[in-house]
Amino acid sequence: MSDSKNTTLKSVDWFPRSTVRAEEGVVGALVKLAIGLAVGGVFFAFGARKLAIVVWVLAALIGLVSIASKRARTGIVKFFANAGFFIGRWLTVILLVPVHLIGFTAARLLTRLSGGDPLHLRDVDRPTYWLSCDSDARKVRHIRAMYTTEAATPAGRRLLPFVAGALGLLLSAEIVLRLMGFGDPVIYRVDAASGYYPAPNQDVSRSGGRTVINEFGMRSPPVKDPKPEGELRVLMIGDSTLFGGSYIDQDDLYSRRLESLLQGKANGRPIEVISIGVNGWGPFHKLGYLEKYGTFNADIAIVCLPYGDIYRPLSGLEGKPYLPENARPTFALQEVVHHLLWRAQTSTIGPLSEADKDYHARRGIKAYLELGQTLRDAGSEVFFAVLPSRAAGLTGEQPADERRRVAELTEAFRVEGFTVDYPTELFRSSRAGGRKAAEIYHDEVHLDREGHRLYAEWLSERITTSSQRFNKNNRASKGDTPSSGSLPGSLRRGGGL
Amino acid sequence: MNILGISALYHDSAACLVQDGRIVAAAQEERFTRKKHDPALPNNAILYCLREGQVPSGGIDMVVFYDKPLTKFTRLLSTYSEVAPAGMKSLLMAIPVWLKEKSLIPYHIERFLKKSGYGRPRDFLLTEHHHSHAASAFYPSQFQEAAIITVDGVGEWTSTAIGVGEGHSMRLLFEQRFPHSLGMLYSAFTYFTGFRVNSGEYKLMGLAPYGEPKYVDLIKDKLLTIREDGSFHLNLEYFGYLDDLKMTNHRFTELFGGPPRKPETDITVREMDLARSIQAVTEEIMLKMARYTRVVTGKRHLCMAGGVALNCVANGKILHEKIFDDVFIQPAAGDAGGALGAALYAWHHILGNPRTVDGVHDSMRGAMLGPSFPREQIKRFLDDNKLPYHDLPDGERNEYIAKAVAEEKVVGLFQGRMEFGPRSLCARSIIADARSTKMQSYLNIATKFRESFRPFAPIVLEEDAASFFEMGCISPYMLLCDQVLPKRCVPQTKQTRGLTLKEWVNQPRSDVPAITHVDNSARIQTIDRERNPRTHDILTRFKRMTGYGIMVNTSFNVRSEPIVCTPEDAYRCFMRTGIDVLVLDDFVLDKSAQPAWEEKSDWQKEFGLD
Repeated sequence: MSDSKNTTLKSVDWFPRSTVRAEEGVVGALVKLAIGLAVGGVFFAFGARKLAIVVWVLAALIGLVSIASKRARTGIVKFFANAGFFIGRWLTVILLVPVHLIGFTAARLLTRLSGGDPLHLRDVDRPTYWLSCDSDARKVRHIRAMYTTEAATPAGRRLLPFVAGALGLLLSAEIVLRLMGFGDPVIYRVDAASGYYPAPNQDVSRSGGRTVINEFGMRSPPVKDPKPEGELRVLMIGDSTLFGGSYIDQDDLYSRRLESLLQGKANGRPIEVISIGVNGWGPFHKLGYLEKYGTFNADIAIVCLPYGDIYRPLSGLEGKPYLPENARPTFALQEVVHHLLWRAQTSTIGPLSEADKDYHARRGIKAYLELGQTLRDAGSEVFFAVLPSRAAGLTGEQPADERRRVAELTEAFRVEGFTVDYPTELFRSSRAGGRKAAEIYHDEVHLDREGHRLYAEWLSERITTSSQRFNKNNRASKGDTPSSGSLPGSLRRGGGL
Repeated sequence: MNILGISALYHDSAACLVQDGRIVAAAQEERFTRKKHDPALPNNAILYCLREGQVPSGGIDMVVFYDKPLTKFTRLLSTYSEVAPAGMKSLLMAIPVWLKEKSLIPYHIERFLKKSGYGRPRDFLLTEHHHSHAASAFYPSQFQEAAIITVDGVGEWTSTAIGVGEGHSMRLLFEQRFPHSLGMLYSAFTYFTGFRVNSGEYKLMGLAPYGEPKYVDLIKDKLLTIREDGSFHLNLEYFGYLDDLKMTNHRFTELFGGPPRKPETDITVREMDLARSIQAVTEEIMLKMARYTRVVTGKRHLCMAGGVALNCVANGKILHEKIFDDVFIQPAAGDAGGALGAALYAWHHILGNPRTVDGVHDSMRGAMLGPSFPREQIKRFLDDNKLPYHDLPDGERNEYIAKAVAEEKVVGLFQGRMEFGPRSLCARSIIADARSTKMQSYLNIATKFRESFRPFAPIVLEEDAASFFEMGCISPYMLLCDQVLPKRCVPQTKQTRGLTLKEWVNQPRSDVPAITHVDNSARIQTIDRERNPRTHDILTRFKRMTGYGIMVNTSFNVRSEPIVCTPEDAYRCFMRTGIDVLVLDDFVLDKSAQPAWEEKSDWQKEFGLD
C-alpha cells in the first residue's frame, strides 16, 4: 500500500501478516557458503588450485559476514542480485546473438526452401482461416505438462523436437567437454626435418595439468639466450614419456623436477634443464630436430626413451591423433571426434611382424647411435635413459621383447662407448612403501605424477654421481663450459647444427 | 476439495479458489500491490483466496495454472525463425524472462506455497490458455449447454476459438492462430492512436463514437481479409509485433498518413476516425463469428471470454442482432479470469464433477469475490486517525447517499466484497447524478484526472432498464452497450465536427447526459435486489426523490491507479480527488468535515500513465 509523503495515515493490518520471509535468513547464507565451497571444490578437482583457494576464501568471508550481520546479508544479496542481472544480461547477448543470427536465420531459410509456413503468413487464399482444434495430433492433451501437442504440421516440423533435442545434447556435450578441458589442445607444427613438434608458444590447461610450450616447441620455459655465463645446461630429448601428457602439470614433469634437484646440488651454480619431448617421436624425429635447432650448447644431453621408440620411423602427423596448427578446433566436440576417428582408424592396423620389428629396431638403434654421436660431437656429455615399462619398472620382470631389444640397444651403445641406463625395479621399493601402481604409471609406459617425481630423483642421482661435466663444473670455476655464450644464429634461423 | 487457479506473468495476474465446485474467492494482484495490470506471481491474491476459504496447511488439493508456458515458448521460437535476423531485440528481452521465470512457473508457485505454510499442493495442472478462457465463460454461466467464443491477443498459439459446452464438459472446435489475432489488431490501433497496449483498448472503444468510419475500406483492403465465417487473415507486412517491440511499422504509418500519436498529445480527427473504423471492423468480425458459431454449434446460448469480450459495444451488437437467445460474458474476461477458468476446468472437465444450473442465475455471485473488511476494522482505522464519520444504519445510510447524489455530490462507494474483474460494480465505485449536465466533465477532470472524452457508465434499476434503453436487457456486469431511448435524447442541432472534445462532451444529449455517450450509447449495469441489495435500495430511494432510477457509476480510482482495495486506499483516493462523500460500508464521511489533507509532492506520478 502506498503512503502519502505528507499526510500520513495510521494504517491497520488490513490483511494478516504473511509468514513468508522477505529477506534471506541465516540458512540462505549457509546455502550460499556451501555453494561457494562446492564451486571451489570443482575448481580444485580440475586442477585450478589457486582459483579454488580464492573461491573458498571469498565464500567463507561472505558466509561468515552474512551469518554475523543482517545488514551485510541484505547488502550481499543485493550485490549478487545486481551482479547476476548484469552478468546475465551480457551473457544473454553473447550467447543469443549468434544463435539468433545463425540458428534462426538458417531455420527461416530452410522453412522457406521447404515451402513451410508455420505462421500461415502466406496462405491467404484459403476459403476459411479457421483451423480444427481437435486434429489427430491434439486429441490427447497432457494436463500435467507445461507443453501441449500442436496441430499437425508439415513433415519438417515433426523433426523439430529431434533437431532441438540433438542440438541440446550437442550443446550439453560441448559444455561438459569444455569443462573437462577439451577444445584447446596442444597443436603441432609439421616439419620436414623432425616430422612434427608442438607449435611454439602455447599455454593450455586440461585435466588439472598446465602445458606451456616455449619458442622451440619444448614443454619448458623459454631457453635463456644468450646462455648465461657459468650455467650448466641440460638438454633432454625424448618422446611422450618425457612430454608427460596433459594429465601431468608442467611443474610435475620429471624434466622440471630434475632442474630443481640438480640446482639443489650444484653449489649455487645455475642449472637450466630444457626438454624436447614429443608424443610419438622415435630416433629419426629427434635427429631431425637437432638438425634443425642444434644442441642448444648443452653441457649434458639425456636421451629419454622407452625401448619401443626404436621401432618408430620418421613420420608426420598422418595417422596420429594430433591436430596441426592450421586445424585448430573450434569446438571441443571437434577434438573428441577427431580423436575417436583416429582410434577407429588405428584399430584396423595390426601389430608389427617380427621381421618388421627386426628391420625397424636395426635402423632405430643405428639412428640412436648417430644421435648420440651428434650430441657428443657438439660437446655434450651424453646419457641414454631407457624408461622401463610398467612391469619392468614395478617388479623387474621384463617382457621378452623388451628384454631382447634393450639388450641389443645396450650392446650397440657399449661398443660406441655410450652409457645406457635401464633402471628396472626402480619403483619396486616405492610400491612396497605403499604407493599404488596407478600413482606411478599412468599406463604401460607413461609415468603418472608420483612416477615423475621418483624418476626425477633417480635421474638426479645418476647425474650427480656419474656426470663428469656436472661434477667438474661443481668443482671448477665458472666459465669453463664447452661453448658458453649466445645461441648460434643458426638456431634462430632453424638451420641445423 | 480446494482448487487454486492462477494466472500470471503476462498481465493482470490473479488467483481464484474453487471449493467443491463453488467459487469462493478471486482477486487480481494489482489491487494488493497497487500496480496497474501487475503481471507478477499473484502472491497476495493467492494468500487472500486461501485465507478466505480457510484452507488449512496441506489443504490445497490442486493448483491449476491457466496456460502452457512451454507451448507458448515454442510459439516464440517459431516466430523468431520466421523473422530472423530481425526480432533480435524481442529475443534478447524475452529469453531471460523465460529461462528465469516462465519456464519455472510450477516451481515458483509451489515454493511460495510451501514458504507460506500451505505446503505443496497434491497436484499441479496446466490448462491451455483458451480452454481457461472458455471454461471461465461457460462453467459459471446459467446455461446447461452453450456455444463458446474466446477472443484475445494470443494464448499459446490460439488467438480466437469457437467451442461448445455441454453439462460438465467442454471442447474447442475451431481456432485462429497467432499471429492472426483480433486482439492484436485492436491493440495495434490502440498503440497507433497513442494509448497503452493491454490497457488503453477501452479508451479506444470510448473514442470511437467521436469519429467517422472512413478508414474501414482501407483497413479491409490492406490490413486483413475477412471471410463470411468470421475468420480473418492479417497482412503482417503492416504490423511490427512479429519482429519488433512495437505493434505497427513504417508501412502502417504510411498507410494512415503519419506517425503514431504520441501519448498525452492532443487527439486529432484522425485518431477519432481510426478508432471508429477499427471498432466497426471488430464489430463486423465479431458478428460474423457469432453467426458462424451459431451454425456450427447449433446452440441457442453463447458464452464469451477473452480480452476482446470486454468490448461491450461489439457485445451489444451481438445481442441486438438476436443471433443467440441469450449471452453470458465472463465479467473478468481478460487474463485475470483465466485463473477462475483454470480452476473450474479442472473441477468439471478433468475431474468430471457435474454442474447445477437453473437457466437464470450464473454462479459468479455478482463478481463480488474479493476481500471485504469487518466493521470493527474499519472503525478502528477511522478512530485511530481521528477521522470524523457518521455511523448509520442501512436505511439512513442509503437515504444519505441518495440525497447526496441528488444534490450533485460525488460519492465514493465502498461496500462489501471487492469485485473480480476490471469493472467496478458498486462495491468499489464512484457514483454521481446522471441527470447533471456538468457531471461527465467534472468527473473526468476533477475526480478521475483522465482524458475529457471518456464516457461514464450508468447503473440502473433492473426493472427500469427498458424505460431508459432500447434493448432494456439484463446486464449485471456492465459488459453490454445499449442505446438511450430516442424519446430521452435531445436532437443534436449543432455541427459537432470541428468541436474540441471538451466542447463536444459537454453538449447535452439526453435527460441523463452524464451517461449518454456522443452516439447516445451507454455501457449499462443493471442493478437487481438479489446481487446488489444495498445499491438497489440506494437507487430506489434516489428514484423516489428524483424520478430517476439511474446514476453514474465509475471505478473508485484515479487514472492509472488500480481500483481501491482497502478502506485506507479508498480514504486516500477520497481526499485526493473531487469526491464529496465517502461511504465505507456503514460509515459515511463528509469531505468538508475531514482534517486537512496535504500533499506537496505529485502523487499522480505514483501510478504513472496508463
